Amino acid sequence: MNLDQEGSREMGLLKNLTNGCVPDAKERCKESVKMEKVKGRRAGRLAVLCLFVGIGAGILGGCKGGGQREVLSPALLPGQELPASPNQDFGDVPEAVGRYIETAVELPEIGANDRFVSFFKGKDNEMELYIASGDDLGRPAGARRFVWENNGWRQDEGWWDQVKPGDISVEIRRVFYGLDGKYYFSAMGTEEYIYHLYQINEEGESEELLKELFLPGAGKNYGMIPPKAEVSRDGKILIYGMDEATLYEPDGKRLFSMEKSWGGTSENSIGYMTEEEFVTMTEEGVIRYRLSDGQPIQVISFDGGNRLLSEEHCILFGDGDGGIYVAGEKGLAHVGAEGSLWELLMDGSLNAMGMQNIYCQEFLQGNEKDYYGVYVSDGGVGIEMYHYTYDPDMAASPPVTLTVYGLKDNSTVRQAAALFQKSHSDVRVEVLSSVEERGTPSEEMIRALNTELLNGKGADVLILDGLPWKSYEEKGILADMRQIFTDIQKEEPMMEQVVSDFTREDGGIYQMPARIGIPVVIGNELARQAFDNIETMAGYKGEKPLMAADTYENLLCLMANLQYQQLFDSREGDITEDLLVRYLETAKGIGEENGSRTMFTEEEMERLWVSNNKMPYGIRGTSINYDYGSCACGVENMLGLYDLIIPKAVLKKHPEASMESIHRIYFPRILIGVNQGSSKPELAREFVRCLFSVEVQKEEFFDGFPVNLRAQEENCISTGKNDISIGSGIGDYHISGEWPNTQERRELYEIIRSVSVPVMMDETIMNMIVDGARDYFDGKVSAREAAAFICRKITLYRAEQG
Amino acid sequence: MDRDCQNIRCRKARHPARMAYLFLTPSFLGVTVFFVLPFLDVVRRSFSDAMGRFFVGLENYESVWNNQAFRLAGGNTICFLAAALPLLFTGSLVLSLMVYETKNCKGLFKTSLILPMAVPAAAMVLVWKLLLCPDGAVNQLLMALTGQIWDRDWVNGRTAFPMLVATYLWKNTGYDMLLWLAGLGAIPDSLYDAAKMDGAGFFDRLRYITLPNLKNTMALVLILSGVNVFRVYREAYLLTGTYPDPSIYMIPHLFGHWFLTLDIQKMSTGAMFLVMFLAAVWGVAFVGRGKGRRTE
Repeated sequence: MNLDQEGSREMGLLKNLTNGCVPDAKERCKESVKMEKVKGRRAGRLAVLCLFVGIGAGILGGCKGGGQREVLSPALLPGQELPASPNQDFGDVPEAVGRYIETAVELPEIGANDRFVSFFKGKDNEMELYIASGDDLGRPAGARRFVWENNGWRQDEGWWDQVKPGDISVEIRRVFYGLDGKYYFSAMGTEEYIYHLYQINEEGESEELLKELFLPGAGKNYGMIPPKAEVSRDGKILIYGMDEATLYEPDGKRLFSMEKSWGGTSENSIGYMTEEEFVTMTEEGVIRYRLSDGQPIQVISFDGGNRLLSEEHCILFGDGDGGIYVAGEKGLAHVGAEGSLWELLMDGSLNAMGMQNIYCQEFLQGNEKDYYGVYVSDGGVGIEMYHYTYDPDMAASPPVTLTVYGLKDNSTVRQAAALFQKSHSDVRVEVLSSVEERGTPSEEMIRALNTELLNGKGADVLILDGLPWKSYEEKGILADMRQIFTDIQKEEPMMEQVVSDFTREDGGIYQMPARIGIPVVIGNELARQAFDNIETMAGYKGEKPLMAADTYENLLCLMANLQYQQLFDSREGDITEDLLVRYLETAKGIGEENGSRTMFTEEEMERLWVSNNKMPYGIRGTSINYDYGSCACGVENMLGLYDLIIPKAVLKKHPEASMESIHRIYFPRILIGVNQGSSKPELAREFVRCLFSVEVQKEEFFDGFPVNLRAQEENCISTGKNDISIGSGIGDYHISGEWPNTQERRELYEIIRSVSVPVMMDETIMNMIVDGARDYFDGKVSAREAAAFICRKITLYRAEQG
Repeated sequence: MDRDCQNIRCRKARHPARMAYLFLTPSFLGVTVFFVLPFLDVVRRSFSDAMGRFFVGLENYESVWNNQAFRLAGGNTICFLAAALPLLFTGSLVLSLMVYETKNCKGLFKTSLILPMAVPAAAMVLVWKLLLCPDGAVNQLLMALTGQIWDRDWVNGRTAFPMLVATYLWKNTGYDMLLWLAGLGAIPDSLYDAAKMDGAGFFDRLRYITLPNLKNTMALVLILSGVNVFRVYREAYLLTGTYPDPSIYMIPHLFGHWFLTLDIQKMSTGAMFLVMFLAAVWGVAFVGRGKGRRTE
């Protein structure tokens, strides 16, 4: 009966199922159990089905809502929480806080010709700053010492007069405080170019050390010029060389050397000494040496591919407890005394460390877990000092991220990012690139970007160099920037012709170059006139070949760029077969005259001063070949005032020659556009404005001339780099030049302001021409056959776009 | 009572089908997510502008149909199918019959023919380049044989197409041969024995026993070989770059370039044309098969 009652529900179901066929109690019990199993199985299947549906929905959801860009964030301090991604929504999870903030430290009055010497903690742990003075002509005129007292700099009046050597005239290079509690300074003789190391004694007078060590050896003009020296607690002297550091007894006896990474500049050497160790950097990472015998104790490698800091301009310093700090462009990192993992304390991209126009010269720890950094620009001028303090209430990472993407890394963009962040403390500008500045991007990188753009994502700001920008414009990927440039033209005008060249007929502006390069020809009038068109180039008859020897690939590229208007229809970029034949024949004619090849041997490269490298725009820079007398003119691609130094020196030697633009053409660089799908269009537009501002434009990064007129003017009158000189030479030939003076800079900018023809050669077509012409230059086919072959490919390429 | 029991049996009989559906669910979801939904998106994009924002009707179809590059690539792909498929089909069948009939060293032949499948494409292309470039082994051999200078670039010009067919055959013959061998292995020996007893020769056995029994395998070989035709792009790309000789310019070349310029609407439309072509081929085959059955 109980069984009946218990199974009544199942019975009812079973009745329905069997249409009135009622089994006995035992059977009913079995059926009841079966039904439970059936229900269980149904529930299980339902659960499995739900699981699959869930997985499917998850996949779909992941496809739709995913793709959050990984945001780099500064490493956390001990005990600090993981910062939330700016775009993540974690509900009520509190935002991670705590970040070092940067404040500028007011410096003593610094003249235009003063330069940074040293910054360190000296006696009584006080910060000391040393600045070399220069007179109006830039000649050395002593040094000044400042001590940090009561939140200000107190000048130690008469310091230099007291310590300067009495016997010779010197220019101070570096001051340091030895572990033995004494002050030292190094200097270069102004009359004889010899390095001197001095100790400042108790009376405040200088005594020269290791005098013999730095004298020129027999038959040599120069002696050892170490970039840095340090003194241990027991008075031993560590002298930094280019690729090793050597320890000497005070009497000059050499003890041993310790290997370090090669420091290419005479101003910079990475490393520091403690009472027991010498810490420096090698290819493997940071290395500790035991000072007693010079043996390596530990190598602390950087973390693989994400190399923390560049070796070029980084500073190593100790934390006083055996730990090591590394400060550089990427930030400040620390490793403990026994540790091997680096902790990024400061993200360099959020402060002055990431600026491209200045580099970190000294970095040291304050007394309360704070830090000080000194930055200088080229030549040690333009000194800036910043104080870094930890703010526990500041968001660990700026809540908003603006992404800038370009195929190649670029210093101007990074500079703009650093300045933009300075004025927008709540914004992090993430500059992404696929390859380094001199790298070669691949099609795969463009495909990866296209995939993002197709999904309505991608970076907020795009650097379009090397990207299919025409196609992006047609497809509506790029936003119209006409309002930005209308405002810019009102406030900080750019070169009118550049704006005009990149303005569509309907007034829309979808991309704009932030820099321009200028090709110039240097030679006499006859040679310069030969560049009128390819016929005049072919017809040039002079004592010397028109141009210097190069690979046919470079020769073709150079001609294509310089004669772009004649060879290619400026709208479609097409070339006719007949014109192509003339183009190839001209290139071959010039090449046969000057000894060009499809590929040079080692011997030919040495003899003709060439290489097999592909040059940008095919322009190698041949003003020195012209000066040497191997060709009738030199062609240079000017990307900055540095590029003017050697051509100006050549022009001074050749009064018959002059320098002029070719067909008033220019090469647009750093082509910028705003992603139409950006979620931060206003910020993106502000960033564009920042990129075209005078502050960014006036800086020189070897990537082109500014388009901003006021920045051009500032470059003309600037005196910051007047002491720079460059030398160039091959074999017995040598030429050197000085930084161009105001007049010379003005002349160059006159040329720059006259250009009006943008040339942006289609790389695909150029590659087709180069590949198709190879057999012609090797004599296997005629010019007509090669031209027909090339035209077929170009036609196919054009047909794809049709 | 009988009817009730019959009902229960019917429900039980349906259970295996339910289980089958359950097991098929993951696969079905995968196909839906990774093939069906993207395909539907392709259909949508073929009627939209490049970014899929606006409906443009048949504009893309007209544009792609009139596009010379598409016509060239499509024509080349069809030519390649027409030239390479029969060669691969018959060549692999002949080889499989030879291996099947061989008494000794069967494993050696199988391994040597299947080896190209195991060679990475990049390594294979390097070998082909060493053979076919102007200074390559083929020209050296011809020079040694004829005493004349040979500097022909075999992957450019008139020889490009045959060379690409050769690489395709070299790569795929072994694989197809294995498929044929599997089919041959499934034919009962008793059929051949009976035919031999009746005095049937090799060609009679081939015509009346082997080929009719390989019908299903034929379909499989045709489909897989056809699919592999579209993969020959990799060899063409590695051998000759992004813009090869026009005779070996294939659909994947064109699609690759269209993706670079974000011409997604053209890619989608091109894909739709391909689907239509394949559907037409399948339709013709289906109708032909139906007629054949009715005739039988």
